[in-house]
Amino acid sequence: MEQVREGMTEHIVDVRDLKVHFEIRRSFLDTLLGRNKATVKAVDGVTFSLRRGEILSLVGESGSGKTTTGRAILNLVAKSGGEALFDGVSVSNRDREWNRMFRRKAQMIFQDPYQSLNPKDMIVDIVSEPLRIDGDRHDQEELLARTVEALEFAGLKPAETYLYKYPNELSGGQRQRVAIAAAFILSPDFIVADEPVSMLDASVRADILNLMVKMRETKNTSYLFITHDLSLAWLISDRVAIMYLGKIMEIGSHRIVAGSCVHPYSRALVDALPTMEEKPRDRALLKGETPSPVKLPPGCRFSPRCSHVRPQCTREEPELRCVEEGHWAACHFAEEFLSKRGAGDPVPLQGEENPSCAQ
Amino acid sequence: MKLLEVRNLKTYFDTREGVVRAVDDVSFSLEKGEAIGLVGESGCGKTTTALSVLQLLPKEGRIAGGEILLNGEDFAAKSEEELRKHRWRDVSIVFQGAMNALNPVMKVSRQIAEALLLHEELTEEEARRRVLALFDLVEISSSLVDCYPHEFSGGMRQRAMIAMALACGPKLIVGDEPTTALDVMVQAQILALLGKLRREFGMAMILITHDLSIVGANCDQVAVMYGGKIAEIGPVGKVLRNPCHPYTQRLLKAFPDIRGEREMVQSIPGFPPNLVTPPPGCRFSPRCDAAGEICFSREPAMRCVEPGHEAACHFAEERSWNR
Repeated sequence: MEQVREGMTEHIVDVRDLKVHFEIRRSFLDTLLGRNKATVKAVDGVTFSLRRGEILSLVGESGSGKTTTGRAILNLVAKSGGEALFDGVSVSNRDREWNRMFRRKAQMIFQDPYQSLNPKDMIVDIVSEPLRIDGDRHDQEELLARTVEALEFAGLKPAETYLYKYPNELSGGQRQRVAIAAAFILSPDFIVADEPVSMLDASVRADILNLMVKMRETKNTSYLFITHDLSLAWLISDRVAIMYLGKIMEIGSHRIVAGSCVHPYSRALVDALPTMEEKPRDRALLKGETPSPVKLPPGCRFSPRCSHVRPQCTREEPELRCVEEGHWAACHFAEEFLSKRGAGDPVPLQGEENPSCAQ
Repeated sequence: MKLLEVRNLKTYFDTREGVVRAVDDVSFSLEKGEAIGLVGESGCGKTTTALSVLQLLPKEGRIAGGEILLNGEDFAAKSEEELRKHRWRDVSIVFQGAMNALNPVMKVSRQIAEALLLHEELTEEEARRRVLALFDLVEISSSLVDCYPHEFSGGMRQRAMIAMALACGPKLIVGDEPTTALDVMVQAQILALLGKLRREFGMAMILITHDLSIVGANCDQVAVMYGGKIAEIGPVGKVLRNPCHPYTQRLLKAFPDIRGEREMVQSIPGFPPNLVTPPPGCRFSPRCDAAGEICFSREPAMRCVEPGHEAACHFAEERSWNR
């Protein structure tokens, strides 16, 4: 892999105007009547990049396209447009050697540890499988040693007691650790973690999150952390991107979800967050639900639900643009909201770890 | 008179491994219009407590002791026939997976009407009018009256379940993780709706959740459960601000507080206790970093740390701020 290392780019992942559209299967009647095909624009022009060792969270409600974005970056779903680059190379290229390397360097952790592990395989097989199929030859002893190492890294100690168990003998938290051990065994550079802790209890969740952060600290792993939980995104990521109906509405430091956001949609999400405060502030909750991504509204896609909507919003779609260092928002009036971001809002953006207006 | 009084409730499950003491000596009470949050990890007995109140336990489960007084009447001693009259009229429940709780081949409005017709003497026409009023109450558009569950979104289905639970104007509603499968925004809408209904109708609520942050803004009291027992109970503000049980303290550290310092969450080492053979003494003692000798031998009683705020820890007073 030395050749790849030589040409190492600053960003491990570069996503440029990524689009994933799904065609809805039409009924026979629709075809007969010549009705137009309907497309779901699951991801509709998403641009961002991920530095080495960075944790970027994609947050949004269901249907915002966050999972599809993650899958498209790993080339698990076909793109309809745009580009996703890994180490500067398009993930959809067909070079066998490159793909082999890519599958080793980029891994995914899924949400449901009850479904992501093969119930007929023993833990040792599940965890060592990536090693066995990655092309390099490993002898049995080495396989076992590395499996034990990965399990212990994932907090399953002593590993020997878990090796020959089946997934149904483990609790949800232990299963997620197995999934993580299998993802970590090849020391990947990049992991897409799709809601990895949403099904776990608070204490187990804390363990798994600490494990992910440890991985970043020891191996400089980069993460795309997909979550609907704003407080988790705030807690573990360097930067956060907020998605709505297939587009990024705002991207910036983790502080944007703690209140320094400028986009009205981000603001609404942050306000909807339950807090431990006894008396909740009066907050204006959004009415209704996310509209269908089949029929997107004209102009800004958030405009029908936005409480600050103005005529321009329904005519022109706002581009994602820089409002301050390292902070981008897709709103025509982002600057105005930025200047109004009053004293009541916590922590202005300053002392950024990685300040730059280049995303 | 209190609306609901649960005294020394014990609910056991008979399994092949032995008797599981899922709820073991739990007491709490609720005034009219009051909301209590039951929180804790999976398997701590919070759902079993609520199901015991409604007498909806699975067949392996039985109430082994204690009293459940609703309006002063002992619910635990009633026959199934009598219970059926009380359920839904006095107490109702909203389950976690609303999407799966509705009958997929029956119109949503019909399902709500059935609940009404079963409990009240109504004509079809009156029932329909009541359903429309309920739809309005839970903010579902009346254009959806003749729709089937699959035409509803997850949030809408959960609203429909709430409408059904409210149909007969119960005095107490139990929400078993009513928003767990829903998006942040929909969760906030549903919780706001429950709060509004509670204020308007003076309805009491038992809210079961594993998410401490939900309890803060939506409940008056909170009971933190561990291993089938209440570890700490009291007014929400007091318990969250001045937790006196080591378990509550550790649990709070496992949640990120977005309004506070950005500190990494901490897990609680070890596993929840086996409820067939619970550890002697305090059930949290094997995982507690502050356990003394007494904790491993003697079970702690509830100790009052401040008015209305109790914790089941031998050292509760020492842990309180205002000692």
